[in-house]
Amino acid sequence: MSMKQILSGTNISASGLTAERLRMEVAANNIANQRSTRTAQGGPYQRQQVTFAAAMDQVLSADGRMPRGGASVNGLKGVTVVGISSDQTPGEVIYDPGHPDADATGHVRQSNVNLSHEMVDLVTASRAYEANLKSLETFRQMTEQALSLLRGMR
Amino acid sequence: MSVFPRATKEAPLPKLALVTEARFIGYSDCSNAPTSADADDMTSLNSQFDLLGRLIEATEVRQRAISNNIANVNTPNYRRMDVEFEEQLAKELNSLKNSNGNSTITAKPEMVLTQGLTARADGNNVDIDQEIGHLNKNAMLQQTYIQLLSTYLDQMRLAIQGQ
Repeated sequence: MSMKQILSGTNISASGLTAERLRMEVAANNIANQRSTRTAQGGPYQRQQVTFAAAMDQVLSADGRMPRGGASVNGLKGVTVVGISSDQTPGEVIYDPGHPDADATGHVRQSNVNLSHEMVDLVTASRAYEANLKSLETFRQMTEQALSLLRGMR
Repeated sequence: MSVFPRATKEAPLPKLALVTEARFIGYSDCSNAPTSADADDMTSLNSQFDLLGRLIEATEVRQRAISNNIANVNTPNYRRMDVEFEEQLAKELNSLKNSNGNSTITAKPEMVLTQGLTARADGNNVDIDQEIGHLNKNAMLQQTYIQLLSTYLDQMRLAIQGQ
């Protein structure tokens, strides 16, 4: 096992940390824009959501199954963020004639951000972040243990 | 038969095996398995290092698999993976019992998809609590193997230094 492979465990956890942090940032951004009624694209703010995909190098066969004996243990690359997409469901319409973005009938379309939804996202992302951190810490301990074998050599 | 039979030219003393590999990992009664140790003490020494090395490698590969599961806890349609090694090794050590002890260990850590788990609504079947449990268990196993190897190395060093 080369040194690069030994340290690849940190990359896996790091990819998880990056992905979960991004999810938290997006949730925070959604909460911050809960009341935004105008955007650069026009119209009210649409809530953003991240899409994750497992990053692997030919670990799974074409039909998504794990080939016995043929799978590479070095093909694990953690998680990648495929992209950030916006949720296109329309937000609710409220009657507020004094609002600068009100239409001719005095109605304003709000953003489609649902606060409870964002809070759930925030909590699960935060827990997943902790789990990734824990796995990173365990990896560090294990590597330290393995290195301690060399410490006895004098 | 006495513990120390007098050596005659017709019946040479049997060579003593230090410890058989099977005892190290605590698998079911493999202590009588004829191993390469019967052929040569030095080979036995190497194979114990070899075996512990393989076990440690397996725990490190499994650590990566569990890390990958945790990193993908929110990935839709991700299926949990695990590493199989110990069962295959136990089978091979058991078959060593029946052979002449000349066969070598060919078991390798293998990635497998865990079967029989219920997936969530998004098709992901990773349970974060279970993963943390697996993570801790795996780390403790690795620590055990390292301790065994470390103790063994210390003994060897002591024997070589003659103190």
